[in-house]
Amino acid sequence: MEVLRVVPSLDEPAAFSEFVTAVEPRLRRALVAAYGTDLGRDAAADALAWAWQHWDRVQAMTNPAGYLWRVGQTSIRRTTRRRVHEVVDGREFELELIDDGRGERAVEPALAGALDALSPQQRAAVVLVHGHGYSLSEASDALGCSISTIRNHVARALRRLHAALEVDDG
Amino acid sequence: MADIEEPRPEIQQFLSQRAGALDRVAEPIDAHEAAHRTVAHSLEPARRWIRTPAAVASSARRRPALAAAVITALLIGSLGGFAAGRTSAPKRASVAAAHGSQQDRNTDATSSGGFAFATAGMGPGMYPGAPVMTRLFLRTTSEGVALRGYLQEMDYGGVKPGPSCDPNQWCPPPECNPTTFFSAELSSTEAVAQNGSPVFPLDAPAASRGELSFGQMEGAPVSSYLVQTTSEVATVRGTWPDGFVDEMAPANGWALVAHSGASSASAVEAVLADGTTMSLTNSQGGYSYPASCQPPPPPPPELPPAGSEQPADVARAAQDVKTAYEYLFTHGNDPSNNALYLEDAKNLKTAGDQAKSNFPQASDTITVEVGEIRFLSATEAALFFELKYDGGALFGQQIGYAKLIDGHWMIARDTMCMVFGWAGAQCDPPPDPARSHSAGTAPQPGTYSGPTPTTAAAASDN
Repeated sequence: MEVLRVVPSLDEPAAFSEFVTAVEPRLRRALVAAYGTDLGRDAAADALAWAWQHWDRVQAMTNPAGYLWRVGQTSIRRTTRRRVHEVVDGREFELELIDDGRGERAVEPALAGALDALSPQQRAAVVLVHGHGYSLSEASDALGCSISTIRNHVARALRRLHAALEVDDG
Repeated sequence: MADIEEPRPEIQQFLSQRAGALDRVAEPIDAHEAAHRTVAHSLEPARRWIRTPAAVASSARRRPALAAAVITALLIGSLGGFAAGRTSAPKRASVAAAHGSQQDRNTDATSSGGFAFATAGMGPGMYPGAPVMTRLFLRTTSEGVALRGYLQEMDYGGVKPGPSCDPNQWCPPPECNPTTFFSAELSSTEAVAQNGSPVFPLDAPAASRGELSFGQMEGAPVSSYLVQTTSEVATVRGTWPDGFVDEMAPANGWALVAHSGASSASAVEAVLADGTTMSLTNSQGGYSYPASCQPPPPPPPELPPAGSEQPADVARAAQDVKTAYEYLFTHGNDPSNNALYLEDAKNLKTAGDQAKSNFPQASDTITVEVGEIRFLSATEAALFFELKYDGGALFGQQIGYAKLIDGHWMIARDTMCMVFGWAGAQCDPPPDPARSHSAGTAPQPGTYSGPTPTTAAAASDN
């Protein structure tokens, strides 16, 4: 008689708990900034669940946060792919890739739209660096890319936000 | 950040507010949630990421043999995850029902009535001591969706589950870190899926423990709900917008209802033995977390001492202060009367509109409880108050102020600005920090929940 495996045995709960404490804020903030609160948080939770199920591999990684960002993106793609499928079939569904911001639209309405129009990487980079105050190095770890890439993402994002503001100013 | 382009102040403020708003809505994920989350599909990143420096320790790079083993393991893991979570059950899977458990494929009647041990093969490499699942019920709906409920006792190897707590801080009681879990395994002709929930204590006769939708990719979507009940519940019933109703009597405190279609249920209810019904809310993805497992709000600081001068009629003044708070902080009031109860109401309208825009559900459900009121002078009072609402974090009891202006007791501007700050709206000019200091975990006006003091300082500069 074989047995259904749901989660691995818990050999190192304390170590995993410490890992989550260290990695979770960056991972959640990056995914939520990129994909909105609902999808982003779900993706972060999926990524951390994946980390638990692959704990041995994660412990050997040099930048597990960056890798889990990729895992979270995979979760996002799978979720949104399912939703797109519903559209193809002509069924009703709600596309909720980007959350509405909930905190700033009344201040500068043009900025919310401009931020939503950025690529997920640009959006995550600029919110992490200028919204949450992360350094370029911390943001590059969170997004699993080089500092120069982060710098480019942030610069391009700021250019677009500035442009949106100038158009809005009239 | 000195070597990158600096944003304009309004962009900096916007990004800080966005970050703070996202932080407030997307709650942190702890190790317990991660370890017990069911991932219904393989999340292995594309292969180009698997061999990145981030993913593989330096000692493991450039070792072809080891790399081949890793890739092989990943393939096995991916296939296993795919098989478990997506379109079809593994070919080697089997479910052996013990005596007394039956399945009726032609009706939607529940056919639980005994325990069975559920077993399914996931391929080689099973670890020793893996948990055995006890089947509670197996039911097939009138649409042919098979619903299986299992209980699973987790073996933590002697390690107590749950977070390690600071002895000086609140810690969830042991029942909030259960070792028993309910697992739902659902299948239609086209697709399968799995979800689960810890067996938490119940605050009420029934609670929604999650919503599970599957089959979208296969073109045969199904929506379903997990419900935990006490013995007081006779039936759990789900009603969908197209009029379809699915219901079942709970088996060992659990029930599943499902419907073929993409729409979520319009109502999920528990029908109690006395015939009364209880609506189960489906916020947070259908999950309701027990109140006893959530930390209590922190105690508020002390009210300032009473002044030597008091109003001529203290009881009347206290009633007027309470009336002002209850009017302003009760949903559905007439905003045209705000000026009667709020200091500087006209100039606070912009911030108020923004707070309402940020948290419309909270605005539409808000109520207040007013506690002790202490008069600091004949024209100023301090009091305890606590706001209750849905759709936002609750911050417990706070200290507010009221002022006697033109013969009317009004909520002090500083207090209202403190509340607006919780909703990501800022007053201009900002309130007096000494009279708008939030208690507990509530954010302070003009600050945001970023990770560093630098962030907060930058935000407050704006």
